[in-house]
Parts: sequence; structure tokens; C-alpha cells
Amino acid sequence: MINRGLLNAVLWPAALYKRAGADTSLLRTILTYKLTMDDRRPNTFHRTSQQRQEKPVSTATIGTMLLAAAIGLLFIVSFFVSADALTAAVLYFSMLIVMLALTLITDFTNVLIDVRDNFIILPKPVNDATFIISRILHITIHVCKIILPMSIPGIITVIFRYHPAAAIALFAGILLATVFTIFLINVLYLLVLRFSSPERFKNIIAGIQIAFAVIIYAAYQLVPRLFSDTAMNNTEVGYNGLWLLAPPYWFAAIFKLAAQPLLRPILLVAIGLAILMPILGIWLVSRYFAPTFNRKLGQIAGSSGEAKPAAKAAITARPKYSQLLSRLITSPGLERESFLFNWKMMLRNRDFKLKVYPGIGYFLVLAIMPIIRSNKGIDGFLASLQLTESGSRFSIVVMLYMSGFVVVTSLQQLAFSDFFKAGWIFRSTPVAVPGPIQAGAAKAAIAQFFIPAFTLVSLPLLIINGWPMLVHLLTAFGSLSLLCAAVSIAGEQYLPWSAPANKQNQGGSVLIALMLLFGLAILGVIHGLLFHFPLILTGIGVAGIAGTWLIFRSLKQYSWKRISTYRY
Amino acid sequence: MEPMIVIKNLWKSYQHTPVLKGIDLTVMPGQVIGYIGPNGAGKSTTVKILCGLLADFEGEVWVAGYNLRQQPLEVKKQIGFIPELADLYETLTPHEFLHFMAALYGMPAGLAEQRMQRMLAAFGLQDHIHQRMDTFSKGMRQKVLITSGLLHNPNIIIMDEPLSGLDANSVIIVKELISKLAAEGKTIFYCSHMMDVVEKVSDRIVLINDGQVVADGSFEQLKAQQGNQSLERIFANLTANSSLDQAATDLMDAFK
Repeated sequence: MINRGLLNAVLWPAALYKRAGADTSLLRTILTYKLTMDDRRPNTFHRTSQQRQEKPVSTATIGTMLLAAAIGLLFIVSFFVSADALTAAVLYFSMLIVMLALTLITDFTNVLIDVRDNFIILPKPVNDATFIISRILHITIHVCKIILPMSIPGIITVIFRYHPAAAIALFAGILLATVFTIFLINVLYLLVLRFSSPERFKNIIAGIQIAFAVIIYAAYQLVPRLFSDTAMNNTEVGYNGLWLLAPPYWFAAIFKLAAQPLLRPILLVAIGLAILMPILGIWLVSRYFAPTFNRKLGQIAGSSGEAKPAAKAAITARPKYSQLLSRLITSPGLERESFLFNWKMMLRNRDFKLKVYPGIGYFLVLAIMPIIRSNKGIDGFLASLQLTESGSRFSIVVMLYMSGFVVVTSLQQLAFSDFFKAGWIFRSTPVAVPGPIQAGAAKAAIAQFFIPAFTLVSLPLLIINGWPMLVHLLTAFGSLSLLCAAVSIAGEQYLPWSAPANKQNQGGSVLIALMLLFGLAILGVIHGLLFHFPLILTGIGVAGIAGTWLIFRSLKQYSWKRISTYRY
Repeated sequence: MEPMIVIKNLWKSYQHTPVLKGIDLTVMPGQVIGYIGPNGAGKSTTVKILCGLLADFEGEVWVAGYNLRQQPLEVKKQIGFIPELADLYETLTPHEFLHFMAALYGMPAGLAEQRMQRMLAAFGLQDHIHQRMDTFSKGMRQKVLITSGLLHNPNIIIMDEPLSGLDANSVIIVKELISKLAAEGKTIFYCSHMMDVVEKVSDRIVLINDGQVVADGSFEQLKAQQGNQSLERIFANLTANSSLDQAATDLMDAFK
């Protein structure tokens, strides 16, 4: 319904399109099918979620719009942190441009520029004008679906906080900012395509998607705090000429003039830029960028292009970090090979990264939060981590045990992949006991994620406190390893990468995640209670490491009977 | 001479629908079996059972004297499997993938390294050994899969459409390879839809339809039984329910 409304709206100037040489009934047909397909495609947000729905998506439009509205809701905070309309609007437009850019960057490849058009539409009797206009209109509709819901919360806020005229100015600013953002993305695409291969391009897009998920999460954590932050109220964006270099300032100037009229030359210059730059952008895109753009994008989809010979010197005499680590924690043979195999797969698999890395981003956000939350600043926070400090017990324990978070998703996602059929290699080869494969995989997942996270939190603690800290690190390391090992044998055992990702298979995963959280809490409390008994703590640490070793020893003996199979 | 593969009264059902309905087959060493049949006839199911991918079947299967149910590992050691449609870990390089396969077969790494270098070089992939397979063409992936199936020098080689995606020159290499392997006494189980290739490479053709063997013999024997026709025609006579010519006519009639 929303689609039909938007479709009618963009097709309203039919006479104009006809004069440009387009066949309007064909235009309507193409757009109808494009929009139907959009409805069935998971959106940016879906792609980073951990569970792939079994049920096909059929109303993605509504999901996208709701998400956009929720993000828009976040932006309105800017109108409350500052009484100055210019400051508020600069903040608002900064957030808007960043979010819009992040959303559109991924959507451009996934939704808007469909290279299959080259095979499906172009060989048919459809003229160029129809094709190009259909693409422009499709992009317009898609952007409207995001920008309209995203701007509604802001507009409503402005109507109440200022007056309706200011709201119109805000909307005008949003439209111009949107055009400008699209131009920026075009330039970015061309730059990236110029300097990197299509395969790397897909990785960059995946990286942006991960950043997108983490930024949203961080924003929801941080923004409510801005309300109470008095420091913001005293800061005002002034009228320094340097501000003209910041695009949000241009669009904010329009709003400022309508909301709190004030005539300053710099504001007029800014408004001039706000109107001129998007127009210049459109002109540049259509004149110079568009022609090379489609051709370049064609390369992105064509993954099976001619493979270029790679540099031969891939084997270096120096063993890699992963190899050193594998010698340290795995036994030679199948377990070590499985460790190295899974280590590489986790680093290279895009889908795995899309599902697991946001979780790590959330961990980092959570880890940084206490610093921001404590009003003492970084120095004050560091001081609170000193063993001699009275309240330090709590912060130290929380920091140490939080690093266990990162393992949950990596251990759980290890079994699932889109290319689960490639798991035939485990079944057609004479593997007597699959245990070593499982142990190697679990160790790889724990080592790749837990060791860096733990190092990240323990190094500063060690630097602040010196040797007395070691006993706490040992305890935390031992008990966390034990917990990770326990998680790796909990629930159903699948061979790595050999089950399709869907809800059915992951039924137990929420339970395991809860179990892990509960385990982290219990271990943290125990550690906290025994904080001043170093001997007992050392005992716990050693026992934890021994327990980990025992669990892996039993995992290595797992027989085929204990492995769940996905039926090919 | 001991038979290499013995299949007795093999049944297999998916959700109560039988796919294999009592297959009987005995294959001697050095034979090249062309295993053919229409879509859904049960070719892939037979192959998956032989390779140990499907364990819940009825009937008995012996490979090189080992019972598949009782000694699956011994059976798997004898077999090299080259699956259909490159399902492989394409984020790995051929070097990494083949080393991992070798580890699963329990092969010494040095031997695997030496063999893979030579085999990939023979396929003209020597410059791509350390390149991730996600940039590979279908044919290049297929060459890696063929290498992975032969690396441990198995006595039985099971191939499911091994020529898919290969260019004409590589097809010649693989066809030549099949006859050389057979001359060495290796048993080859060749599944394909390409009748002209099956006709040329195999010295015995087994045609299955609806889960049962409907024809079994050399191409000459089949011709003697079914009239002097091409394998394509024999295949059609034995497996198509209605006339295929009529289907083409019906398609043309749609224009009227």
C-alpha cells in the first residue's frame, strides 16, 4: 500500500517522462516489480542479526520504515540539548547525514543497483530513457521510504518547540541534505572501486554494515545521557567561518533563519552552499560519474570474473601468530589442522563476520561506557581501578568478566553457514573420531575472540596495579576459560560450518547465551567475594585451567554419535 | 578376482518415500561404470551412500571387501569422491583446502604438498595455488575438487558430473585421466547426464530409473538389446513415460 502510494506519487508527472522519451506504462511495470522485490529482501538491519528467518520476508518495506522512524526518534535529542537553534540543528543534521549515508551505502549495492538488469531488462525492447528514469525513480522511492519516516519525529518536535514555519525549513534542509548525501556516496563508491577489487569492495560494504549496527547500539547507549549532560548546554556552535567546511552547518543555517531569525553574512553564505552544493552534486553525478558508475558496479556482482594470478610468495618462513598459538594449545594432527582451518574461515567469511563482529562492537561500547558514565573523566576512571582504591573491587571484576561476552556469538555461529553443503568433506573422509575437529574449532573460536578481549582489559589493569594484579588475572583467565569450554560443549554439536543458519537449528542458542551470562555473573560474584584471599583465588585459577583441559580432553574423544547432522 | 563394489538389495527412503528400490550391483576392479538415469532416479542418493554421507539405508554394501555399515572408515579410505557442483570453502586457497582435506585423510603433509603441487600444475593452476577460490571460475573450482578426490591415491573414484564447467581442453584431460586410472586398475564410478561422454568413457553402463536398475551392460550389449541406437535414444526409450517428440510438438503447438 505504501509502495503503491509512493509509486503513484513519483509517476504523477507522467507527461514529463513521456516528453523525455519514456514509455510510462512500461515504467510503471518495471517499478512495480522492483518494489515487490524490495519487499522480499531483508534490510540492512536484518543482515547483521544473528538469526536468518526461515519465513521469507514479504513486508520489508514496513520494517525499513519503522527502523528509520526509530532512528529518527533518536535525532530529536538534539533539539533538547541546546536552546540555540543553530547548535541543535547542526547536531541534528550531523546525525542524519551519518545515518543516511550508512544506510544507503549498503542499500546501493543490495537494492538499488541491480546488475541483473543488464541481462533481464536491457535485452528486451525497452528504450534507454525508460530504463534510466526507472532507475532514478526507484532510487527516489527507496530514499523516500527512509527519509520520510526518519524526519517525522524531528518535524513534530520542531512544530511544538518552535513553530510550523521552522518545521518546513527543517524539512527543506533534510531534502537538500539527502541529495547531498547521495552525491557523497556516489563519490565514495567511485573512489573505492577505483582503488580496490570487487571482492574487497564487498568486504568494505560488510565492514560498513557492522559499523552501522555498532553505531546504532552505541547511540542508544549514549544519547539518553546527553540529556542529563549539562556540559552540552553551555556549548554553542558559533559563527566562525571555519564552520562553512562542515556540511551539516549549511543545512542547519536554513533552520536557524526560520526558527530564530538572525541576519548574519555567514548564515547567508551557508544557505547558499546548502542549495548550491546538492545541485552541483546532481550535475557532477549525471555528467561525469553516472556513465562509469554502472560499468564499475557490474564488476561487483560478477564474482566469477577472470582470476588473476596471485603473488606466489604466500608461504613465509616465519610462522604466523595463528600457527604459534596452535602449537601452544592444540595437539598435532587433526586437531591442529582443524584449529588453523577454522581460524582462517572465521577471519575470511563475510557472513560470519556480519553476525559476530557487531557483538564484539557492543562489547567495546559496553567497555567504554563506564568511562563516559563516570563524570570523573579518564583519569578518575583509571584511579578507580587501583587495587588500593576502596571501590575498585567492583570495577575490576566487572571489567575482567565482561571480556567473556565476546565468545558467545563466535562459538555459536561457528557451526552455521550458507555453504553448509561444503561439509561433505568431513563425512566422505575416513575420520574415525570427530572430536579433534570439534576441539580444534572451539579452541580457534575461543582463542581468536577471547584472548584479544582478555588482553585488552588485563593490560591496563596490569599497568596500573603491577604484580599484585596477576593473581586476579590468573583467576579470571582460569574461570573464564572453563566457562568458554563449557559453552563449547553445551547444546547440540554440529561440525564447523556444516549446518544451515535458521531458527530451528539455533533453538538452544538463547538458552546457552543466558547460561553464559549467568555463569559470568556467578564467577564474577565469587571472585568479588574472595577478592582479598589471593591463595584461594590462585587455587580457583589453576582449577579453572585444569578443568578447561579436562573438558577439551573429553571433547576430543567425542564420537560420531554425539554429532548432530544436518541432512543434505 | 574380488569385486570392488558389491551392492545388494539397496533401499533408501526420504520421509517414507522410497528413492532406491532394491539396487543390486557388482563392480570389478578396473571397470569404468557409467551410472546414468533421469533427474530424481536415485543416482546422487546411491553415490552419497557409497561415500558414507548417508548412513541410514537398508540392504548391504561392500567396498573392497569391507562392509560399509561395519567398517565405514576403511571404505572411506578406499574412495575418492568428486562431488557435483563445487561445494567447497571458497574463502580458502587451493593450497589450504587441499592440505585440510589431506589432514582429514590422515595423509602426511609433505606427501600432500608434493602431490598437490604436481596435480595443480598439470591442470595449469600452479599460479593460483595461493589465491582464494572465491575469485575462481567454475572450471577452476572443479579442477581443485578433482585434485581433492585423487590426492590420497584412492582405489575407487566416484565422480558426480566431474566435467561441469570445464573447458574443452580440460574435458580432454579428464577423459584421458579416466582411462589411465582404469588402466592402473582403479575402479571408476561415473555419474553424468552427458550421454555422449558416458558412451565414450565407460566400459559398462548402468541405467537406473525410479530407484531400480533398468539396464546394465556394455554399450555394445545395450545396443544389441535395444536396437542399434545412440545411448541418448536408448536412455529415452527406457526412461521417458511419453514420447519426447510429442513434447516438442506440443511446445510448438503453443504458438498456434
